[in-house]
Amino acid sequence: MIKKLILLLLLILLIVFGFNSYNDQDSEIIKERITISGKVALDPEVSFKEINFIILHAISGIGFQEHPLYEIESFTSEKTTFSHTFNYDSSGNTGLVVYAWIDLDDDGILCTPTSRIDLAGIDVNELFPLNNMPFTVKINTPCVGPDWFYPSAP
Amino acid sequence: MKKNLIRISILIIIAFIGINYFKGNDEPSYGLVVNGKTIDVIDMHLHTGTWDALTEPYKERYSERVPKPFKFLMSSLLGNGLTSEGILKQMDNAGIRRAGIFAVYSPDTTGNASNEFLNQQIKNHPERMFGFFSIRTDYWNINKDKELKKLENDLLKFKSFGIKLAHAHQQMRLDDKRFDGIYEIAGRLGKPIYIHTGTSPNPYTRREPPYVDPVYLEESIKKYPQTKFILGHSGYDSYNIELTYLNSCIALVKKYSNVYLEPGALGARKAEAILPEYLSIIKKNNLIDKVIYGSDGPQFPGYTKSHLNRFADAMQEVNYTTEEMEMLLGKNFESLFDL
Repeated sequence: MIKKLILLLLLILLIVFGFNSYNDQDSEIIKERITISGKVALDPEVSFKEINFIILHAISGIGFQEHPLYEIESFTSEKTTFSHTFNYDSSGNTGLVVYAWIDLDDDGILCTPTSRIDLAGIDVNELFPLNNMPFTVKINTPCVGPDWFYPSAP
Repeated sequence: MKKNLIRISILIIIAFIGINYFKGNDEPSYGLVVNGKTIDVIDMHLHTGTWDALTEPYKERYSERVPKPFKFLMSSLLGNGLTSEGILKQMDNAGIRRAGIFAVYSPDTTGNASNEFLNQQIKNHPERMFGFFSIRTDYWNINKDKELKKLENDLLKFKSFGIKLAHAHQQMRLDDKRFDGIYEIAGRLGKPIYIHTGTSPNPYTRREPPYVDPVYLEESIKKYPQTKFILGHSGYDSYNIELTYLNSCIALVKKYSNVYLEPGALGARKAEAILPEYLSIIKKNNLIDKVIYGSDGPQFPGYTKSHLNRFADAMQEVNYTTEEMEMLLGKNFESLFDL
């Protein structure tokens, strides 16, 4: 009984100390507003409602945590040209990948096991953000994700 | 300075409480008593790792579970819980004698626990901890051959039980044939392959059907009949807390004899409402002999035990017999892995 009381008292002390001592500010990630633009190259016979885009860091992370294709955000465009503004965090990130796909069978999914006509493609700017050249995304490969294209074989 | 002193005081108090709490524990007893019979439980799905190897978004998600003032403790609390000592403590606490422990390479989502690290953690406990080793796939176009060779070597030199893959975490489409080499190795070496199916609440995990719906894996399942595929989480849509992809799992396991299911995370508190439905569907489809128990622990102190208890309660609620519980909670694993 006494042992339980001591434990309870210690717990109360812990909570009081903890809450009173806490004065950390959440670390703030500094992001820059950047606009990218570009166009999509498509077979002229392909008709579509909209093009789905995902933008990704080409390489993200430091040291053993470094890895390619870290997603930033997605957007859509009804035209073959696009311009998009987003918050860019440069710390530990280099290069930019624009991946795009078209839902030709209009089922909301980039291919199913039985419908394999949707198309995808990417463009990569490994020098981003030092260089923010317009992107050209060739959409002509069925049913693949961004990792199909990048990083590419030497 | 003042903050550090207070933090040290908190740590001393916690250590004191911890020592008092755990002091004098008897030898753990293993097994789950059901209708007077002790069932030997194997949890095939536990994780190892380190705090440093987790990604920042995942650390933040984990830290949401504790009040802000105590977040500085997460590194030591969670880190210790993922070492062999911490995992064994969780297993003892749950009465679980044996478990599968996973390596992971998910640098986008949860982070990495390398094959070497896994081996280091489990090598002194071969009778209790069974290793499921993994493979890095994020530079696949560049180093596919090297990674496949490393996987094969690791599987042999580390005396592995199986392979662990998580397409949604590793950003791999389930229908991407470039990864068939992994399934080929699994079949050739006789190492069952655990594949995460269904969605995950973890940040940056892919949630589109090609990454989470096991129906996309069917061509590979058909192509490698000697490979044993364990569909992890049974397609549980953890993001929406629904059994969205269970039908795909059921169809595959009925159609192919090399397919099995694992119910990890369905015993978590947030899945409490759908767990009886899951277990009823399994029973109704006569698939109890194809389900291998796993929890996706240790997550946080007490999770491994509460997952098992909730699971066992739900099994009894939907009228599983003692024999059926015994199969699902342990014997199916023994059969599949020839123990």
